Amino acid sequence: MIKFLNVCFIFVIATILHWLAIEFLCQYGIIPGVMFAFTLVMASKLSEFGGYLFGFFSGLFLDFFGNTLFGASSLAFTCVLFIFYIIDDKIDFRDSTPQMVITTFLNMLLLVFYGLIGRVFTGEFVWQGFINFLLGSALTGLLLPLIYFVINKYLSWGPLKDTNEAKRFF
Amino acid sequence: MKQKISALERGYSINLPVFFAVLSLILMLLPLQGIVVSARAVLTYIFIPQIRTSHSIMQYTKDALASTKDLLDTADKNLKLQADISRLLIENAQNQALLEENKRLNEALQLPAKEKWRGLWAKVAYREPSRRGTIIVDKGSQDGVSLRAPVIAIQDGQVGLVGKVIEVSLTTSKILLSSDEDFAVAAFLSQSKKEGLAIGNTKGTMLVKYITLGQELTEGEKVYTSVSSAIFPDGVLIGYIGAANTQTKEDSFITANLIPAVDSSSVREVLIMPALNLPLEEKKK
Repeated sequence: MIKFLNVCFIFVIATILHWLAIEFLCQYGIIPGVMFAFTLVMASKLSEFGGYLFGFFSGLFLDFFGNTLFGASSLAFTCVLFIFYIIDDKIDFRDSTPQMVITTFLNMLLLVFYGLIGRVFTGEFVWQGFINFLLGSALTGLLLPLIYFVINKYLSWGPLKDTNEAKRFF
Repeated sequence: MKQKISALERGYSINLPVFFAVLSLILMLLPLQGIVVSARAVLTYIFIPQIRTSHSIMQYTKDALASTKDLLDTADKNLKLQADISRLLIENAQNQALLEENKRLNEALQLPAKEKWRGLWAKVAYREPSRRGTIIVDKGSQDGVSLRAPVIAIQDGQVGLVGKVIEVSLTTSKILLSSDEDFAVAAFLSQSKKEGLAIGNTKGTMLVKYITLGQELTEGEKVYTSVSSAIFPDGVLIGYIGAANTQTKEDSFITANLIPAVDSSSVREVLIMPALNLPLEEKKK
């Protein structure tokens, strides 16, 4: 139960930080994928089921603020997580350099996926602009090692140590 | 056993993304009404608190920045004020020396010592709508206010004449303002060294009458209460000679416009001074 509550707590923190980042940076046309970075970190920490579940709800959180295409972000997150799990078997995601490179690349892929989903379902490619595509993705890549470090420290903290090691449990 | 887990995991790896992708697709394909609206309503209860928290943090950060700026400004002002205090302390010391010298010279010349302005602060309680030339203040005879007591006020850091007490009740007093046409006070012009009679007029401003002909009056010249006034202490600023005033020659006197030093229509607190013409026994009290 405590492991589930831990994940919920991290999810709540992620939503707060994501919204804060948007409030700070959307005036410059940049929407950093804080929620996406949290999803990748949690996907590397939890089991596949836990990772997909976290990703699905993260997408749902983003969909919640859209007027159309309710579920598009969830689908995009699921697709990108599928690719992430394929890559995760081949690289060491604990090192910060691969973390940054993979996150930047996957964030770009996420934006393209989202645009394509829009193209399929509404007939219009949903594009958030090149600035966000490049800078937003780069910023997400830079944020991830920090988020990874903080979550790793939090989950390694005495009473919660089990959560960090219970990759197969949840 | 290991192979079994591995096979199970492989199944998981394929089935899980498919399951969540299908779930997302269902959400997308469902019309934005009915169950989707209900699901969003449920999500509102889950997500809105986080957004409110973020917004509060953002607001707090903005406020904190503004507060920090204010704090820095205040610190800057504080430094300037401290410098001013140091300067004023030196000036005060110099003034004390001048006062001592003045007192010594007065004694040598056998001149009476000038009393400091003192009195009772009162708040404006009421303004009569029918008569704009008077105000009622919240201090009366039980506080020591007496008839014909001079009234002054401070406005924009400047002491100026307001009027005189014309009615006293137990707890309130009525003050005739200097801008009222019934008001008159002996005036002294600071630059031209002439005397006149400052009176109110119907326009709410003032005039200085009976100034003897001779030197031209200059705009902005300060006009004080004269030492010859029976009611007011001398040296209280009444106002300034008006810009491009219409000095009209009436026989052998000049009448000039006077801009009051204190706008009596907006004054809120006044200092009621002790009446000068009180009997000696009453003054002693």
